[in-house]
Amino acid sequence: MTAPAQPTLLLFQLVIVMNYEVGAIGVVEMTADERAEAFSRLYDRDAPVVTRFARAALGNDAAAQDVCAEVFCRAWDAWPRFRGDAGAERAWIFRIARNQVIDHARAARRARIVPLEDVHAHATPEMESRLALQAALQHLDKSDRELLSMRSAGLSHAEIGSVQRRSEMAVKQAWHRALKRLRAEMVGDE
Amino acid sequence: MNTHDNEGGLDPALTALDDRLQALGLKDLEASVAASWRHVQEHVHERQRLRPTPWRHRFVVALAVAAPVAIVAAFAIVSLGGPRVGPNPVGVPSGAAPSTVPSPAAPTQPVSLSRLAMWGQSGWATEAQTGAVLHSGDGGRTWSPTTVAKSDLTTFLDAQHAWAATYDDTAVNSWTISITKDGGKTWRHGAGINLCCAPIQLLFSDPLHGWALSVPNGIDAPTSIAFVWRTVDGGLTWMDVAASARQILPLGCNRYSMTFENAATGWLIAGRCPSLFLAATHDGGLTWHRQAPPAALPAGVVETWAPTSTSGQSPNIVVSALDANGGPATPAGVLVSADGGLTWAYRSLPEVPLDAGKGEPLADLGRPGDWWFIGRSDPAAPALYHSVDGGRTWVRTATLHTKGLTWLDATDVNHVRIVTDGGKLLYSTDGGKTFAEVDPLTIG
Repeated sequence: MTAPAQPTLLLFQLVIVMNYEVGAIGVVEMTADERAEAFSRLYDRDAPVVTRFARAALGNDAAAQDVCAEVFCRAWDAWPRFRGDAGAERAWIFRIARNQVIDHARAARRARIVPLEDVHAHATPEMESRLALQAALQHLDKSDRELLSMRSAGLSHAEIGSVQRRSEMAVKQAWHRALKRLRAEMVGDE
Repeated sequence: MNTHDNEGGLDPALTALDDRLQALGLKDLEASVAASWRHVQEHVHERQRLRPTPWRHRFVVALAVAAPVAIVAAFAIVSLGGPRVGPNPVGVPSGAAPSTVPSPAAPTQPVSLSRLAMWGQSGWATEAQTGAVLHSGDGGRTWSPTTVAKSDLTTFLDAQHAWAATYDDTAVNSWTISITKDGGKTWRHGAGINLCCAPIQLLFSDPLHGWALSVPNGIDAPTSIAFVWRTVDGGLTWMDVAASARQILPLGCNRYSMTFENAATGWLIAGRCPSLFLAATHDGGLTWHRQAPPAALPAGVVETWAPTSTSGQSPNIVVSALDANGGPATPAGVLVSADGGLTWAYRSLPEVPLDAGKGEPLADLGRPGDWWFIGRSDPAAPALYHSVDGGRTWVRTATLHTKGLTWLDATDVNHVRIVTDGGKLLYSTDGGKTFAEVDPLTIG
């Protein structure tokens, strides 16, 4: 049974509500600037990682640039509604990036886009090696490719686990298997 | 960056492979991230522009803005009128103030324009030196750079759809085409096209169907060779469709242009021939059929220019005779068709259009009953002409006391924009009678 509310308590609750409202107005104002600043920091930190992920996943630098732009455009639209701490930001960004990569891969399959570097006649040995690795990645199945692409972007196993909602140990085991399959692809190509 | 976190016992070969993986996407990473950021900035800018002001702040904002604006406006009226052509100058419409980006503050700087294509207050331009593609939402006063920082050829279907081609004759795939369908906020890259020659025309009849034309470089290049490419997926992939056209192209032509009224029907025109060459296609360029030129065409070799945009109508093709030096000369006229392009008639122009012979003439004949061109008879004071009856009669609306004009773009019978060779805009809202000079700025 709830005790009857006392006038002092009601007044206190009203003050809290008013403070919240007043504070909310101020926060909205401050957050507009803070939000832009935080988004800028988010971009500085995660855009290179997203670009590397998309490059590995798609094997096309130009498409990766498009993906990165699209990811952060979508992130900006959803940014005011983002709930989570700094640690959750990267996982959130990468979930957007995964979807964008999938969309681009579908479109590329339809359009049969040929990366320009694949047909470059004067590739250096370093470029050849990179192209061979990219080509081998493209021959893996989707889940292996995604996992290794995230790894290529520099994500730790724990971070990949956050994105894929899997345990770090599960990611590590899957990564190990995927690496072996990648090596087999490359040996097979040679 | 190496993130071998707790990988004890991993095969060294796999570790090495993981290292290679982590080094995979590092090439030119910074430039790519910076290019993406420009896209994102544009997106943020657009979103902020569209965001309604919270009611709580309107009063404060109104107070804060009203007084300085009144002072600045008074100052501008008195002292910042700028050079104008003709009386009663007009500026860009009210409500077209440049929008602001929240953070960081958007810097602005003057920009020099070349090509221009507007639909209402929105449209495109290219930067004069680099061909960088710019987009405006305020009638052309401010321009947002897109991530296409360089182009050799552009075409604009509407305020949302644009294509930009870059050409590198040292690359295997010499053409690279960038595509946007959202006003330049995002671009996609089509597959590279392996063409021998520089692009001279890129055009689309709708967001999916487009054509590209290239010809050999140089005046000594072999004639009768034109390369026509076609896309049916918005420019992502292209196929060579020139085989049929090459079978009927006569020898001795070297001035080609192409125009399409829809995805199927178009024309290929070649000038500087013994006689004007005109061919039509009704299957998107797969097969071509030669047409007879109009009987009333002036004698001699003619220069031709087919419009890139036709508004879904039969094209109106500018032609002129050539002078002794091979330049365009009087008489000049327009080929028009009243039967969907089956037969053509010649309709004379009062002057040869400016820039005819150097590139695209300063003529906008794309809308029925609303034709414009700038005559070149007096280079120091070119004249603007307007016709509302399909070129039967012309009204000389203004004399433009401005040396060097590079582009003409009209959006309707009242709104005309002209680009000067300094990259500035002359803007008329009264049917070309008076113009105000606009100094375009880039934002961001």
